[in-house]
Amino acid sequence: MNGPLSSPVRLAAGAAVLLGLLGAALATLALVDAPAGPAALGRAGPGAGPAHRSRADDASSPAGLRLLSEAAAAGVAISYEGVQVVAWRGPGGSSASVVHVWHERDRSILAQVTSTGSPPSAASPEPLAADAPDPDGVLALSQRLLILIRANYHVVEAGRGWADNRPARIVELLRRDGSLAARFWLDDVTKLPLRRETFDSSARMVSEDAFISLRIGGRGLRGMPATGARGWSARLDPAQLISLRARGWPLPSSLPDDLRLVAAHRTDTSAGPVIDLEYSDGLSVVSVFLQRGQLPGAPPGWQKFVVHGRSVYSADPDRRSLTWSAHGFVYTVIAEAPPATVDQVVDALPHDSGSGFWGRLARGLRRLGSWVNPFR
Amino acid sequence: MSHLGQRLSALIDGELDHMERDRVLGHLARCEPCRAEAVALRMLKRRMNALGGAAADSALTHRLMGLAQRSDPPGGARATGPPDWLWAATGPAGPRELRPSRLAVAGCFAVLLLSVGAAAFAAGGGAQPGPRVTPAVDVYMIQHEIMTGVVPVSRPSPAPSASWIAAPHGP
Repeated sequence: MNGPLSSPVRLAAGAAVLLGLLGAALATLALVDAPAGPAALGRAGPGAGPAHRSRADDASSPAGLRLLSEAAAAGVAISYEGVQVVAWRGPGGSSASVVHVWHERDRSILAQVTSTGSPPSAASPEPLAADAPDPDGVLALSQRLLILIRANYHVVEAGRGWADNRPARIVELLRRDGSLAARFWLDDVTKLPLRRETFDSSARMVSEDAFISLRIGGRGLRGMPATGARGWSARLDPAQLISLRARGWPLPSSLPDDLRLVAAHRTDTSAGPVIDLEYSDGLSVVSVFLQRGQLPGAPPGWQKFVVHGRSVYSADPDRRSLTWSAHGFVYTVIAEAPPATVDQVVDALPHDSGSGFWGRLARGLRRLGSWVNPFR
Repeated sequence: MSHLGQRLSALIDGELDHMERDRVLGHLARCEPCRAEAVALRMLKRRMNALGGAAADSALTHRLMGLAQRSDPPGGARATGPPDWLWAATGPAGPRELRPSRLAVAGCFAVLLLSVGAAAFAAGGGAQPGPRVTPAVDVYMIQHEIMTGVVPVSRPSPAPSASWIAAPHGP
């Protein structure tokens, strides 16, 4: 039986086994490194949050929930004008701005950042320079965010205090592990939110938004700007999201830390369509913008740094605006969330493989797969 | 030259009846050449009997049995036996040789795998696909703010075709 053919046969069998192992390794690598495809990302569309609505309700206090609900209603029904201080603390530094806000009953909040840090005259608000910062983190509470808050946090009343020289009721949001996530000061009379502090899981303060002057009623609205920016009007429904996923757009229905997709919009630019995905857990809000293409390099004024081994660019020291490109898409993340949550979001979204042999091989397999995808 | 022809071999094989056998034996008593031929035939028969009784080589037996089993049609008795890989691993005669068809499949698989790997390696080089774009981060920030229920003022339009009006309240 051990004839002259046995050695070549064994060699061929051994080679076949090795090649099979190589193929399995490549397939595994491609799967692990592949962007989250339609199947992996799930099919839930905007508004999927209420599916797990009452998870945290049981441990919330009725008084806390009622106060927060009244605060959301007051934010819509009451006209006011005032100045807020907005501060964020990130891993690379902190940022703070002073924002003039106007709110007319049943309308949106208009916000204008002051460049000097002092509130401008309400009668003659100075227009912003084109590169002035946006009013990130302005204190606002909506009914939709309240639904997500009730799903993800325990809401408890935490006594009374003062904010902006007004007596206030204090409401705290606790994570499931009991750690403090946020603390609200609500005006004792109107229940308008006067102050908000947010904390990460290590009890470090992440943000602080507070009115330093507030006039309730319509008297302060005389100097209100007549118009504001308009959002993207093309809202995407679940069927359109599914269609985009089938064409290769990586549109996850959720992100780490209970961030659920709550809205999706689209706009068309000269460089192609841009998709805006809004995620929230009720307290944090994360926007992910996607467009086909690749970054030519660091955007002007942005710096490169590494998050969980992934190279990204950021414009601000608190690292709440991030961008990178991977797998033929440019990702831009704008987050009002604790740094740890932002890091997890960045880690959960697709990134290019390394530049070595295996990274090139995995990247090539993905490209080959995309070329044969009939829906692309 | 035998005078008895086929009857001599029939005598050796014991196939003659009594009368014919007596006549043949009577001839042999008188004919020396036929006796000598009869002796030679008996010796040949013994030798052949001895050869037929020898045990066949065990390896040859298994190999012949294996050939017979492999030539069985699908669904026959072969289908109830152990699978090929198990049979090959546990057979008494050691590892079984791969058939040419199996080798061809393995070869084709290897070639296919190498081709895909080479194509992937080639496709994985160079720049990423798609145009080079710089994200309009200022525009995105405005859109983000609007989604949180806050409308920034005195900033450029977020969308090329968009006009400047207030958005509905709330994200």
